[in-house]
Amino acid sequence: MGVADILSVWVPAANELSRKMAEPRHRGLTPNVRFTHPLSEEVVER
Amino acid sequence: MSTATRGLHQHTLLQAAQLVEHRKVSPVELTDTVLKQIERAEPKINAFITVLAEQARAVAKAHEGMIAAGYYLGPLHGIPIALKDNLYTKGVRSTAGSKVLGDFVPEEDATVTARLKAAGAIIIGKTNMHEFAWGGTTDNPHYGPTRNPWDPRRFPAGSSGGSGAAVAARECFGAIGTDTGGSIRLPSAVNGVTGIRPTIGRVSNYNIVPLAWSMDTAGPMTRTVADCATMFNFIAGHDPKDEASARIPVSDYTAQLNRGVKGIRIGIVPDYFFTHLQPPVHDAVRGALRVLEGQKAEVVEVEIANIHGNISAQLTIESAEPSTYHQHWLRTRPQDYGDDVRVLLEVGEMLLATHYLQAQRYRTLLRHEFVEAFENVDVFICPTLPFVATPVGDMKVVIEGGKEEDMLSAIMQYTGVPSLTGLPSMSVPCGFSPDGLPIGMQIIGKPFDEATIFRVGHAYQQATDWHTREPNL
Repeated sequence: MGVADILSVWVPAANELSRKMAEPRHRGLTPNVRFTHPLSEEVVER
Repeated sequence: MSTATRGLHQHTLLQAAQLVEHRKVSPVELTDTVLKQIERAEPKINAFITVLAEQARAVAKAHEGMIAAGYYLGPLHGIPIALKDNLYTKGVRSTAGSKVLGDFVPEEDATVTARLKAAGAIIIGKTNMHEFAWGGTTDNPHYGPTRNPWDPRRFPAGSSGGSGAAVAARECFGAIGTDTGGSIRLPSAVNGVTGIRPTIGRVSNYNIVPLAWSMDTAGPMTRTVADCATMFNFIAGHDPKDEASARIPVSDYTAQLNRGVKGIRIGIVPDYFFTHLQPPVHDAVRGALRVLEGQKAEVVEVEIANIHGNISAQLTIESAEPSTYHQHWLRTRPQDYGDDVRVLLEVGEMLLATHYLQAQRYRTLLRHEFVEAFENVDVFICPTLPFVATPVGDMKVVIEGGKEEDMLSAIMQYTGVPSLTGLPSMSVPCGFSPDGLPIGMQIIGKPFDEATIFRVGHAYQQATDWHTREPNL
């Protein structure tokens, strides 16, 4: 597949996800570009 | 078959380690038997880019002397291990499966490489991989395709396809892979071996050629869960050289292996985990759940409201970040990339910044939903991928209804979820298709709770024998 073939599938899917994430109910979410880790006492191992 | 009657290369890592510890076998013997197996198997599967025969024999000889003098370092001492070729190895070519880095000889090890060497492991070679880890087939245009030991006409998945095939073919006792969107778990599943993608930050990425910075991880691939936990003990933990490395203390990952699964709550998401997959995969994973229920684990149905959309988010992030890393080479050496990877890198430059950031915001949403769900379950279980190994070279796959689908999107159906959420996840063999191809299931755990994943996987392997079967090469 060429660039255009892939974009014709991926961009509509990315647009749909973008529309969903742009909804007001998700306004408080920030991008998780790098994870911040919990403190060790928050980690539970059974 | 007893350990006494099998070839040494057929032993598990821990079986071999016991023989070394009790001086019944020397590291030199182990290295020689593995190198002979590599000679036998490589013409059929092409799992290695570089085999370090001479160096490995020299190191084995040195370790033999250490052990004879009483300097035993632990269960990796004298054990031949393979590394994916995107891990830096000091003084040894590290290509990342590319022509671009075809002559790259690092002056320093990756932290994972250094930790394995410090534990006494013998680096037997560098394994083949999808070029720059950007793809799931290991159909490498520069070093040739790796083939599946269970059927060399089939692919080993990827991108750590060489590591998966080498472990399955008994060319090493364990290997290191890297996993961004599924690249440890996918080849573990289709080659019938065990492999864990750790929590992001648990294992150092220092001096590993990146694919997508925000999702990259490295982890062990072995024949058994116990072997996997043993290797994990040596590579997990904070690394000041990796600024994304977590400061959370590590466990002894072998300590809880035998606690069983009584009372463990296993989450499943029925409308995602068990839809759109080939029937043998469905049946094998359902069968595995019944085995665990038979050991008094409880299966709990869970709804993850926003699980749909994860594949688009995965592809967007896994496109934009590599295209950023490769921007200079893509402009100066485009002819040195294979066609498929070059096209994907060009695609990554065409996506909008808002696509990328909305995908990253989606990760936050999906992670919140899983973390909340983990208040009621201890692990999730699902298939590793929805189909069995396809023919080498195929870029399309049929999952259901005779409809051809793009391989890259289809192969990430289940592995993308832990990748996006940063959760640890292990693939464990759980059956075979009617034509003898391995099937794997994923055990997904809470952040930094790899110990429970190992515990569940080990309990499953105590009740089944899928992981003991060998390909007939």
